[in-house]
Amino acid sequence: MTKLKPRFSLFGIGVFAVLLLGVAPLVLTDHWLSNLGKYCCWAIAAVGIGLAWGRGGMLVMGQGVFFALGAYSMAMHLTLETAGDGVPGFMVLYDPLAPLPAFWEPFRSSVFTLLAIVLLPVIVAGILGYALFKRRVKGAYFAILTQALAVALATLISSTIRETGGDTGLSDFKYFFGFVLKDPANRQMVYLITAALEDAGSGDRIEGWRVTAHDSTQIPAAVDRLIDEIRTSVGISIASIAASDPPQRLTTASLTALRKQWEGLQAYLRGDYVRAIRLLEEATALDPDFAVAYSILGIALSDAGARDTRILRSFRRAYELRDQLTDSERYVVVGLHAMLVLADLPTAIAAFQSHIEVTRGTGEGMWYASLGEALMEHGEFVAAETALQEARRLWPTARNQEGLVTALVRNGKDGEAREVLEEARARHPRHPMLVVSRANLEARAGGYARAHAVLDTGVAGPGAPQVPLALATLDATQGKLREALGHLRVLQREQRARPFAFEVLETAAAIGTLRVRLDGADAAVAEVEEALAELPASPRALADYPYLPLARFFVAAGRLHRARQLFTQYDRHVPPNLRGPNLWLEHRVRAAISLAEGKPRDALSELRLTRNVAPVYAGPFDSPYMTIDQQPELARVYARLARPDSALAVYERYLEVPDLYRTNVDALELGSALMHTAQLYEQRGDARRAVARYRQLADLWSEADPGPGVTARRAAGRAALIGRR
Amino acid sequence: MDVVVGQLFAGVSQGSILLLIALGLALTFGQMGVINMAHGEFLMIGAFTAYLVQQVIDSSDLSIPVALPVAFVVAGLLGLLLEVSIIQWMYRRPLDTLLVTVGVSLILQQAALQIFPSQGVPVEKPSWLDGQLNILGYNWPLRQVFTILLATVCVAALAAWLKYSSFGRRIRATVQNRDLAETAGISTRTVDRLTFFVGSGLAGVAGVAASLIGGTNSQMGAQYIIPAFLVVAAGGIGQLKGTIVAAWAVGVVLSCFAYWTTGSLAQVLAFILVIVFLQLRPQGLFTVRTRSLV
Repeated sequence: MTKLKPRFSLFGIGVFAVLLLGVAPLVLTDHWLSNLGKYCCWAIAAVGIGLAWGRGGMLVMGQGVFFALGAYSMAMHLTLETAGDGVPGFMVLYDPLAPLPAFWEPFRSSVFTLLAIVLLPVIVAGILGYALFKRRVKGAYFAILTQALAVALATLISSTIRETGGDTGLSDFKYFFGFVLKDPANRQMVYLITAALEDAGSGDRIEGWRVTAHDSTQIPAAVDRLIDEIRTSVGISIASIAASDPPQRLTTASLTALRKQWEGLQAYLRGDYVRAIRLLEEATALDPDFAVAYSILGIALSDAGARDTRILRSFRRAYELRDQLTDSERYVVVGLHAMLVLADLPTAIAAFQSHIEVTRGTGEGMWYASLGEALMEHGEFVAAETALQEARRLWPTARNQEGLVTALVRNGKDGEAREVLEEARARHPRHPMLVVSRANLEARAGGYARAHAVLDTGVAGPGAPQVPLALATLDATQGKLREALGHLRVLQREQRARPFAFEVLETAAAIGTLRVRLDGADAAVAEVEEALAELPASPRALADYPYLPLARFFVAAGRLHRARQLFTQYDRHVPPNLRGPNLWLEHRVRAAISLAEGKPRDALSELRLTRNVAPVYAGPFDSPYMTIDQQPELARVYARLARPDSALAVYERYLEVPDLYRTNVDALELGSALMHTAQLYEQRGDARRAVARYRQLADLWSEADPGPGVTARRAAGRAALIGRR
Repeated sequence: MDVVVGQLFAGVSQGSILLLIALGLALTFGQMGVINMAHGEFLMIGAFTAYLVQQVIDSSDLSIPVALPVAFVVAGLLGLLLEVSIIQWMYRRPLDTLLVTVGVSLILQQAALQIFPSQGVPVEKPSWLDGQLNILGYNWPLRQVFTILLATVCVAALAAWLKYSSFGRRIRATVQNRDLAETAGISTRTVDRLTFFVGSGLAGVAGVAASLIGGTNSQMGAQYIIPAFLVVAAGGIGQLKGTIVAAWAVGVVLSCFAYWTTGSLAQVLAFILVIVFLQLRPQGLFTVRTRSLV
């Protein structure tokens, strides 16, 4: 190869520069121009690699690290410029009160940013290079070590999503050193809206109209202009032409966000919550005004077992943006907001019903499951079954089918429920909720072993807490507390691996509640306190803290002062507008404290307050579909009020209720409820019923751990004794 | 104290998996000057093999012992395929093999993503690994004990094989001086292929152990490969004992840092620690060769 003369190569560079800077903007479309810009960025990085590898013989696998340091410096500055005096949008999304991290602060200055872009990579590379080359590390070792550096940085960034934007990254810049930065590709995007007048008889086209809109928010105005045009040319006499809502309003201007939202929805429908949450969070980061994405994100988070205020914020943001939505979407958002943020069941039911009405026949409405859930939480199981049967025809999603199964079981149609479930399973074989439904259906018929087998083969994928929880409740119901603990610990380990810090604590409370029975209160309290110490309440996340599940545990462990302390903290740190989802638990924990303090009358009035409240944050040992008149804790209150007949009635209702999720409650309650019922019958002199309940308990706990095992043997002995009399 | 002992133990068991991977890396690196960035994917293949074996043999008690040799052979054969198809053409060009195998690893990861569900597959733990073993007053989870035993057995078998079998002698001869070995009549090509087979197979065995500890998904190989390379960098090449000590040390360090900070910060800290360590002992722990390969 002949070597180019320096002057010639300078000339070549000059020609290339003119081509890039002068000619390219004139001849290329904006799309290709922005691609060309990207290629130039990569070329600069590649020149660096070429220099290091070609001239220095060092293959830098971690060149991306230096690329990223520059990119993040620039992006942080642009983000801050867009945010003005405030905090960047994505940080607010995670925590509305978040202060700006200290390392962001200097990037407000454009001078500092420009210096940092060059100096930061230089410093990091300098330190690394000095350390490695001083010891003559080269060749493959050097490549590997730089690769390790790249991996380390990538893990660090994706794990600090609250400070750096994590996997989603930083985007949506509006200003560039004072200039308004608007993606040229978007500026060129034009929506064409056309209308034509046809002859009714022949179908011939008589006249056509065309208007343009420059972005999606201008479409309604453009439609109005179109109508004006038609009116002036055809004549005002055609009264039927009226400005109306465009049939399907685009609610996002970002196609990428729309695609991510759609993929997220698909992932959610498949039961892949982790992927759904990631995609939807990306969609909302791309377009912070994307109302539909927020509402699906909220649903996916709550199905994945998240408990933090991300859910609330998603629904509230969707609710704030509801005016952008079509009627059908707006009803969904209003309904979800009422149900999951305000915990107001009647409003939610009305909104979901309107949604179904509006969309009937259009093939749009898919939120039957939410209507069914709201109806069932309100105790209207027949209405729920009707709605969900229709959903089964139109939208056989896993959640709709699961809701239908719940309603059918409750209405005493176990056979039909089984058929629906089989069909749903064929369609969505891996959906965790369906696996749990099937197991619960087995457990209802007393087949705990079969239920266990169903769950064992079920998919315990990440992000689906339902399966390990169901295993734990099954084992606990049968008094096998030690095995139940094992399942909860598996769940806790999985939660620890993901950024579900508060759910770890909630699971700790559940573990503690079981350990109170197994190892005594002291050991249980020690474990929960250790978990609490591991995860101290940081001031930024105070509203997310699971105060109430922890308070409930401390009541169960007999540590009333700790429970009261947590309640004081809850009152102080959780603002009233975030308390909706907690209300149900709040009343019940207050009742439990009152009962433990010896004030059963207060407990009774607290429990009665739960009637119209949606059980949004039902704990692992709660069933959302059992009303308060079916809860053993009401029976305990009656017993303390010396009203044994009322207590017995409540216990009987609880023992007979055909609820699909009853094993959740049974886990802690069934054994003691059987014992208590038997004793109440015995006091009443009804030997036959007492013996039946005692025997039931002995059967239930026949394979139990030593603690419950003793109770079971006592029950069996008692049954034999009464039987002999 | 319990916490310290617990983390030490968890670290040793994590290090055992690293050891199984790093052995294969160190073998091929030391003998052929080949850096196989797709080595982590053989671990992934081993884990998926465990899952597939479980689909055939229903009882998890039985399927895991069966999966161990199967994973060894499957991962080994795929390693052999990689050697025959690509790597044999680029011996003594470590940087080129490094780039090519990075590409291979991306292809394998994507292939796994296409074949298996993206959230990964569940590998059922055998019931004989549930529970704990009480030694010296502490309760050791049986799963971790199993991992450590597995690594120890593999290493012992490998060491014995290298020391006493004729193939082992040929491998050692090739590592020490390839030209002289060829002169003495050893077919270094056969030796290379065998080494690659054994190294990849060990990663497959590590995959079965890893599937019992964490999730089985397309990303798992990438998770382990970088710590494994840190092990090779810190342990040096040419001798087994450097790799063994370095693997357990890196495992313990990662596990302790992950306990005190977070999992992601632990990786960064471990990386810094290895750089600092190279300042003190640039030759690695035991090896006599330098790091200047090119």
